[in-house]
Amino acid sequence: MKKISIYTVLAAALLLPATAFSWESTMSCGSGIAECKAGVEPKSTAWTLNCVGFHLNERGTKQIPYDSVKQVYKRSLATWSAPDCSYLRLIDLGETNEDRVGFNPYTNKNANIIVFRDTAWKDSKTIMALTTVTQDSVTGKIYDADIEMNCLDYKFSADATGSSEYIDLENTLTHELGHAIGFAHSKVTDATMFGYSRAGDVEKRSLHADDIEAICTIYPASDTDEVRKCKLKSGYFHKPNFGMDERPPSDCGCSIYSETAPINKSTATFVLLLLSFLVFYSRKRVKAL
Amino acid sequence: MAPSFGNATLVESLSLEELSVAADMIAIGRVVDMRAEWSEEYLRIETLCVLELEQCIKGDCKEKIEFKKRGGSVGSLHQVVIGEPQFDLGDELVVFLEKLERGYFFLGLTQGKYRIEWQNAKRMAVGDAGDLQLYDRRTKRSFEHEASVLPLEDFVDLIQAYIQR
Repeated sequence: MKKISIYTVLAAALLLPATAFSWESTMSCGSGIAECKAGVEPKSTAWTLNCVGFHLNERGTKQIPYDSVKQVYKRSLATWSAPDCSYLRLIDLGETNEDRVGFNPYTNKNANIIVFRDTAWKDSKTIMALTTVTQDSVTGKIYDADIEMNCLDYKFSADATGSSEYIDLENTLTHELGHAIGFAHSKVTDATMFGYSRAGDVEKRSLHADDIEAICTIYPASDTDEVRKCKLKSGYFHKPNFGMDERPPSDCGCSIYSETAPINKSTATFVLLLLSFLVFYSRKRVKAL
Repeated sequence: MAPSFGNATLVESLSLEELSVAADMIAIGRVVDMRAEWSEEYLRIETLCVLELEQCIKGDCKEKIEFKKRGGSVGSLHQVVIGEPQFDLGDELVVFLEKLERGYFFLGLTQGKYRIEWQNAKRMAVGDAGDLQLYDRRTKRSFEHEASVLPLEDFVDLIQAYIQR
């Protein structure tokens, strides 16, 4: 897949008027007092990992051959991983038979899944695809993101170019993955994260400068990326255990982690101060003795 | 004409007429309670909302109408379903609800909520459609959702006319 360089983004930014970008993050908590705790300012949501892994439900959909679904899914992940001005990579972690969406706070075996509902769509018929993101309401750190497609009421196609009847799967999935990594809707009509589309629309398959600006702002590439290369330990849980007797998640509830995640600056500062104090105190004690 | 769909997550775009006809319940009232809780094996968070009834336009309205919205905050966890309407305790709303197995929900997500505002000494129904825009693929232009701001009385008349058609 062709990488989009930071120069392309900068060039696009220079060519476009200053107001051309219109992307938005989802926020850590709702704007109303009922959702944000008193005194808590909503923050942009984001994954704190440099790789986010997804599982495709093994049943796929009867509407499209499974191999085609898989190809579409992989292309959509690759689309958001392409800009090299961003460190974020979306990774295919294989298939799963899990079809429950949401986040169980009492297990560390939650997985980000993509599932097609051919027969049992329990939600509104007006909804074609639904992305559920679970995050920390104070920091905005995303723990889990799942995508459901309503294949009971709508017809999807692996290639719906120009169709007046079919919804293009790649168009939809790329848009929903944008939500899964923390983006709300953009007002730029050609952007992948624009909130509206039509049957036959395939424009959202590829990222617009507005989408690239979004991912490169929230997940910017930097010199430290060498240190935090995407190293995934296989975290594939074929049958995730959602039992309530599991210990609560220590860090991330998702099924992947970065082995060399950068150390939080404030934690590092605190540890250094503590060490300095201990050295100073032990020397004083030695002198006193 | 090709069906348009939109607003977050991905939801069918509904005109006011479609909302009026498809809703199981349409009511005007004030939000007096909101309580987020876990549902379904502790996987999803839903917010249970209570609307104190001012006027029932359609359906079997009770004095206090209970409905749900997907997502909400429990403890330090916040679950977001993009496209669910935002509102707060004390807000006056016109709600278009549909009955699902697990209770009443907004029909068409954000499209099913209009907030009531005072403008020039008149009560207005403001579509929270807010920045709800439709996109015409042929012209590549987006346009405002119809009836996004209307005097409340006219708005109710329009809904009733659509229902009676």
